[in-house]
Amino acid sequence: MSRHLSEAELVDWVEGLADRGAREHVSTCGACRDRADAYRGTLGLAAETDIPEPSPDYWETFRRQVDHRIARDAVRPTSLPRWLVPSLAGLAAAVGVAVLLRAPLPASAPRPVADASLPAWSALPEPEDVGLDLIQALAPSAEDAASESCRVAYDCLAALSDDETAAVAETLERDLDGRSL
Amino acid sequence: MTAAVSIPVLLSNAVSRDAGASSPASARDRDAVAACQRGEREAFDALVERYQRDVYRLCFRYVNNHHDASDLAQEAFLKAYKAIGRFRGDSAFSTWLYRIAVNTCLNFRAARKPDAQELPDELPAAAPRADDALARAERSRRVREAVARLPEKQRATMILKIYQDLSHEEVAQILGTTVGTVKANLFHAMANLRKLVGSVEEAS
Repeated sequence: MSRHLSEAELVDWVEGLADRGAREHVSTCGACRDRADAYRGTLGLAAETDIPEPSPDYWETFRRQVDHRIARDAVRPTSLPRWLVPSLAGLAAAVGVAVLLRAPLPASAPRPVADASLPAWSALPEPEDVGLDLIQALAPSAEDAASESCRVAYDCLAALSDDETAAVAETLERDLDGRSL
Repeated sequence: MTAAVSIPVLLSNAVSRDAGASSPASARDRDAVAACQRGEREAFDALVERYQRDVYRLCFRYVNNHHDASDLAQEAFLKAYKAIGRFRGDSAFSTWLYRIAVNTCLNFRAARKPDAQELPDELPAAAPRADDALARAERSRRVREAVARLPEKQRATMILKIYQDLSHEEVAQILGTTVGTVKANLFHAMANLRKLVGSVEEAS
């Protein structure tokens, strides 16, 4: 290798990962060796620098504080973007009205079946259907009808007539204000 | 903590490598994350207990004081809890969590010091210490201060690589960059650190 080593190659050389050409170059190039030695020296200085360690009791306090902040914020894990929630509220209201108009719905509507073959580390099914939660929150009287054939918001949508679908689309367009899903 | 920092990788799950997927720690993390995603909040406590020290130390390297480090570490866990439903396991949980912690620290620093990218002048000379232990403590303090003054990318790279003991590949994942850039930033970080603490070496 006739050229000097790059920074990344010098890092590799210090870590013993350089290829044969780089090793041979450093063995004959004082400039590269000086740069590598300076890098290694500062690395050692930085690595031996520790930070003050909190007392052993601190970690229990830390966990309690994290727990308190989670409880205070009343959060729960979510998979929905925040901007979508108002739109879902509008969707839920429209679907709730549609459910009321159509009840009782056919009992033969297919229900989602959990895929038992899902590996543990794949994208997990949602523990709850947020859309359905919203439907039931906004239109409590529709709960019975929804529980029969609308296990998830998508099922409710699938059961809508053309007019009802158009009403939902209109609500979504208004709430999304030009954005797309 | 209102300023936004343009780190493109937060919660992006853009990296497909599942680091250390077969290790017992990774298996425990996967189980705990899956439990959290099922709504079992106590499972998150186990993750906090497992990573609280690492996250706290990472934050301390950024802010150099216990109070802010503690607050930032807690905030990082809170953000992780809120977002865990979107974590798909494309990277190791620890990598994902460190990414959140780094972004939390960057946002904190950006809100406090918008011009943090500029490398300042050399630190003032250290007062001579007769006792070795005190001299080492003083040198450590000065190195920590120097690390806190490095440009953002160099500091992030250095903290993750040297103090969190991550691989170049893991650092690249967290910072959303390439392994070559990580190595170059690390090299430049050491060169700048050498300038900042040069007076320490001369004094000793």
